[in-house]
Amino acid sequence: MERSLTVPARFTELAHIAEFIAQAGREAGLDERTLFHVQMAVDEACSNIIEHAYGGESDERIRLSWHCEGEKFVVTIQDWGEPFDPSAVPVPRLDVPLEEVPVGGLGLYIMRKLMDEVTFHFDEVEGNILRMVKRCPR
Amino acid sequence: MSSVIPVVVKRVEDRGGAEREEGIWRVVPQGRLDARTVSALESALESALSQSPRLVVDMSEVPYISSGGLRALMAARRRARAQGGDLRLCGLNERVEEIFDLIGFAALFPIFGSLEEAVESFRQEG
Repeated sequence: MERSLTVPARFTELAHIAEFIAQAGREAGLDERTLFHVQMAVDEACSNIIEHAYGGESDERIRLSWHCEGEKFVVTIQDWGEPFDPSAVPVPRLDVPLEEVPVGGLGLYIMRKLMDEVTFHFDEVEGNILRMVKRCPR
Repeated sequence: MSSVIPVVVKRVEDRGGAEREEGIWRVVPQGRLDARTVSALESALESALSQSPRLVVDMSEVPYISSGGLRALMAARRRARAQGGDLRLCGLNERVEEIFDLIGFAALFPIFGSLEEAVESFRQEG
């Protein structure tokens, strides 16, 4: 069973990544709605890695892996780009008039809305490690 | 980037003389809107806005939209409103509509079930 995927940091890989997560979700028994949420959170995370951690498309790596812990579906995404500090990203307010909604920080906001846990860790050797958890009672 | 999805941009046909001169324009992205494809949507919205500030974005052929796509829609609606028009959405599939609700985007856009309803909303404004 394929439980990890390593791809170059290119936008063309996003569809490939979505398919990897779809297959993982099917193996883990996620329902379609839950799977859609996980796919979107992963898509946002990988887009952010390409755009911000690597400063654009490159041949640098993004590594994804998944496993289940009881009723938790856990996705880990690793990159070796610029260290990411989530506390430096302001939380966008969407309860204001359209003209006042900030353009930045939306990807991280969506990840946190859709997943039950989103944690970041940086290590000099292992790089940025993002762990996202979705509870999925089966 | 080898990455564009088709985005149809068409003028909605006039119905008598009540239309404003520039009319209502329909933008129909066809495919997944993610970081790879969002530039095609941005170009189409820009092209439509150069014709008229009254746009309906028909989302019925969009199975997925990322934050990049949402940002593009937000920027285009701001521009449409600044030009005295508006950008309205229709045809969101169940999953995409739920995402709009869940993240609070539903409050930022007028959303209609069908293209006809969205177009009619403009026509009623004269």
